[in-house]
This record gives sequence, C-alpha cells and structure tokens, in this order.
Amino acid sequence: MSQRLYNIFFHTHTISGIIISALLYVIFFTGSIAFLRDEINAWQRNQPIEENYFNTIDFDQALNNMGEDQELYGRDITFSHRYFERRVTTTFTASKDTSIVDEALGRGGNYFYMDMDSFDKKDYMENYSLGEFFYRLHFFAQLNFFGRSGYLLAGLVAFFFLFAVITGVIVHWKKIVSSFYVFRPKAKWKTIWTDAHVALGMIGLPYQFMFAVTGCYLIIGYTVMLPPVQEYIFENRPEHIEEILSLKEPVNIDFQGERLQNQASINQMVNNTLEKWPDLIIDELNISNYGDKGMYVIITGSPGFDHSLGNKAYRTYLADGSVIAEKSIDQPSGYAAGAFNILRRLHYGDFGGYGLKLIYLVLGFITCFVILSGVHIWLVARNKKNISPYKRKFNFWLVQVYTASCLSLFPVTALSFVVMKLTHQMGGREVLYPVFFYSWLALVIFFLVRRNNYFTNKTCLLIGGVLSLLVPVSNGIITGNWLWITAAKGYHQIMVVDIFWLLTALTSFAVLLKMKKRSIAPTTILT
Amino acid sequence: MASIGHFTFYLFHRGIFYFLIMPANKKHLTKSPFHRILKIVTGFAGGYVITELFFMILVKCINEPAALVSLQFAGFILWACLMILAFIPKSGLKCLGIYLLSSIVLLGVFILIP
Repeated sequence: MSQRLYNIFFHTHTISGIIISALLYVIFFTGSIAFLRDEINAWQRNQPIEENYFNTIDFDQALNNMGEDQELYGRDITFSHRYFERRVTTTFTASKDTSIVDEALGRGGNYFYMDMDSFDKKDYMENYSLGEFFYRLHFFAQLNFFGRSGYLLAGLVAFFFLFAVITGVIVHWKKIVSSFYVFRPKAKWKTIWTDAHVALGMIGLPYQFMFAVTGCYLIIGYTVMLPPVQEYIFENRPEHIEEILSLKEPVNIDFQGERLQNQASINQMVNNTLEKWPDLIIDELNISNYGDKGMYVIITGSPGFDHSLGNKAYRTYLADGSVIAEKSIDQPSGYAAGAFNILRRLHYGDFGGYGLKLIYLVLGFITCFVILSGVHIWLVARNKKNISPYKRKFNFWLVQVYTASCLSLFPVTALSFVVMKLTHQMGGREVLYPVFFYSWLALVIFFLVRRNNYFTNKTCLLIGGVLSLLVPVSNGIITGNWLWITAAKGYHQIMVVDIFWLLTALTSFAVLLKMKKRSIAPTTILT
Repeated sequence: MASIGHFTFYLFHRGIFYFLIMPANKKHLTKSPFHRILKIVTGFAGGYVITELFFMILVKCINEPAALVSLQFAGFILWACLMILAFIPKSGLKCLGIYLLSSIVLLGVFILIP
C-alpha cells in the first residue's frame, strides 16, 4: 500500500472513530449490561425462573384466563419466550370471525406480558423494567423524538463502526501479528494509549466486526436496506416482503368458520413434543384460528448448548393432537432461515450459557476501553505546538466531555440499580429516567468543572465501586435474598446479577489500589 | 527463546516506526475541500445506490428470501467497502464518474432482467 493510501485510510479511521466514539461507548456499555437483561429483571422483581421455564407452563390455564377478558375464537395467538422471564410475551390478532369486533385497542394494544405463575397481565408500561431500560438505551430508543430517529442514529453509529473496523484492519494489517504482542507500559502516554488501543482492538476484532454487522442488520437492516427493493421490485407492497421474510413453511389450513366441539389440550401437545425431543428448549408456541375447525398449533424451539446456531426445530399439531408437519434440529433450514437465526443468536449471545455471556461481557467492556483509548490517542497526537491554539482548545474540551460522559456511566448505572431496589420500584420509568439521566448530567458537569482525567477516573472508580458493592447489599436487605441464600435456593438469575456487581466492585477497588498517584489539579491546555 | 526475542525486537521497531507518522501525514491527504466532500458523498450515497442495485439484481435472479436476507447484513459490508474504495482515486470527479458509470451499468442490467 502506498504512503498516500496508508495516510488517507488512517485519516478516515481516525475521523469516523472520533465522530461516533462517545455514542458507540454508550452502545457497548449499556449493550454489555443488557446481556444480563432477563437476569436483571428477575433480580428487580425478585422472580427468578428455572431453566426451561417455558416447557413447564400451563398453557391451557393461560388461555382460559385470557378467554375471560375477550372472545378468543378465530384469533391467532402467540406466546413467545424471547426473554427468559416469568412474564411471557403474548400477542393476538383480531378474530377472523367478523362478528367478533374488538374495541379500539390502539398501538401496542394487541400484546401484553402474562405472568405464567399467577396469570395476571401487564401492558408495556407496567412491564417496564431496569433490564428493558438498558436494553433499549443500547439502541437509543429513548431518542426516538422524530419517528424512529433514535434507532436510525444507533444504526448509523453501527455502520460507521463497521467502517472504522474495516479501515482499522487495513491500517494495521502489516503489523497485525506484532501489535498483538507489543505493550510498553513504562513509555510515554501516547505509546501507552496506542499499544492498548491496538492490542485490545486486535483481540476484540472478530467480536467487534460481528457486532457491527449484526447490529446494523438488527436495527436498520429493514428500514434502510429494504425500501428501494420494496418500491422497485415489490410495487410498494410491504406485506409481500414480510411474507417472504417470515421464512415459515406455509400450512395450508384456512379459517373454517365452524367452532370445534372438543379440542386436545395444548399442554398435551407440548409434552408430546418434549417426549420426542427431550433436550428441546421451547421458545415459541403459536396457535392459529383458535377454537375453530381449522385450528393448528406450531411449537418451536432449539436445544440448549447446540452446535447448529442456524437451526430451529418445530412440530405442527392439529386441534385433535395429531402431528401434520415437523422439522427436527438436524434437518437443514436453508440459507435464508439459517442466516436469520444465526445473526440474532450471535448478537444476543444466548447459545452458550453464562460462560459465554461472561466472555461477551468482558469483550464488550474491552471494546469500551478501545474506544476511549482511541479518543485519547487522538488528543495526545494533536496536543503539539504546531497546531493552532483554538484547535487545541476545541480538541481538549471535546475529549473532556467524551471522557466525563463515558466514565460516569459506570457509577450512574450502579446507582440506578440501588435506587430501583431500595424504592421497591417494580417497573417505574417515572423514577428510573430522572435518577439515571439527571445523575449522569450532574456528574458530567462536575467533572467538566474539575477538568482532570485522573480525578474523573478515580472518582468514577470509587463511587462506582462503592455503589456496585451496595447492589447485592440492597437486594439482601430488601428481599432477604442474600448471595448465599440465592445460591442455596438455586435462584441462579438473581445470583448472577449479585455476583456480577460484586466482581465489578472488586475490580474497581483493585484498579484504585494500583493507580499511581498523580496531580489532581485541573489539566490545562499545552501552550 | 532467542528467536522470540529477535522477533519481538523486530516488531518493536516496526511498531514505533508506524506510529511516528501519527496523526496521518497531511501531505498525503486530499487538500481541496471540494474533492474531499465529493469523495465522501460519492462513497456514502453512491455506495448505497450500487449496493441496492447489486442486491436487487440478485433478488431478481436468485431466490428471493436468500437475497433479501443477504442485503440486510452483507449489504452493509459491501456499502462500507464501497465507502472506503471511494477514497482511492486522487480526483473526486474521477471517483464520482466511476460510481456513476457503475450505477448506470447495474441499472441497465436491472432493467434488462425480466
């Protein structure tokens, strides 16, 4: 590669990186927290569930309870266990019998969350939770001020992240092996930042590339990539594209308009499926034309630790309990369905138990470090006498703002956990939003007044460490589920969250002890 | 062990050499703001157009679900690469010309396929 191209690509890498860096940091930080989304919700509500919970649900009872509120006849009903919580996402369509008319339900009116132990129902706002908050913050749902502007912003950040990853590989290609081994902690700052950025960037590269691609796919794959196809090939009929992309084997049974006299139990069908494939973890149960002669049920799932990430198994039952179609996990799904499944599961990291989630989490935080060290290389490399003072001033303030906002995320996150636990908030966006966003803002302003990265770092580690320690403590005080009790009772979901915060606290104290003493007077711009 | 030591020594020097020229040396960058902006816009917008046309041809030729799913993830990789390639020509106009020509050719193919 010529000198010219090397420098040009280097520059594109720097500029794309510096533009997205703070936003990308927020995405990776909250996204890493969101790996534990379902555990956090179990922790917050004190409702841990067993593994394979969905397999044990009494669906007949759930449907009876639903039937008390509305006529279920002729509807398509789906129970889906995308989130491993006691509350299962339940969606239903309008009845195909036109004599059954719903009152206007409004947006989001055709789904709710059903607690499968007590069978009470919660709508979206009632179901709002700490885990959901961090999950949604990682694609900026809170910034959807204009239509889907938050999603689009998150998608563009993911896309420029992909761009920065590829240009980074091009720039570092020649010394890709060597950089892996080079670390010079005693050298000057620029070298330390550079070594850390390159070495950790190398280690995380496959992970970061995967997240850039799957992130783009999940958040803007449909809204950015498909409109031209829809317009010029499918004559503006989105339902056509949706039909192609649903990737379901069509079942050629229509609504008959005649009620069933006696239908087999849904639980029986679930048991029957589990007898056939005992290691299957069912995650979706789909009933079409409920209570009609044309009713059929599709039960879908995949094995736990499974080597075929792209495959799903399903069985289709008629109302009398007979099987009309099935696909085992060993039958290939084909390219499209395989890609669809694999992209999701790679992003969610739900295929290898807690060991895999831990690796994902650590790599996520390493990526946060790569982002911040990149910002600091950028600053240090430009803090030179031959660069004009106003530019240096701008650079300095930019990096102060970036560092303050990024680092204070840690104590603010721990604070939200403690506050939500202590106030017994079961949901509670009204409390969570102000606590999270105002304490974040206050910390950022405070650090900007101090203008000292050493001070910012130290304070964040100290407050964050103490608050992290308080997370398991507050949980123990409020619910009585101390760490040893959750371990003894086998409440793994709650235990995982407490252990996570305990380890985080220990890590930050260890770093604090190792930190060298440096001046804590405000840093000024080199003049 | 000696070979490892030698290897690290070699790498150490390579590492230092490369980072001495950081930030990117200005004399190699495109100086004219007009050409620079032209390249960025061409890479972003032109890259999107070419990506869409390419995958729309695939949707017509190969089976639909496969091409549609590919567009949603591989499309981003292609688009990002096209954004990078737009920086290679020295002149922004040349870059725009190449991307326009490619788009027209792809558009021709797209229209010709029944």
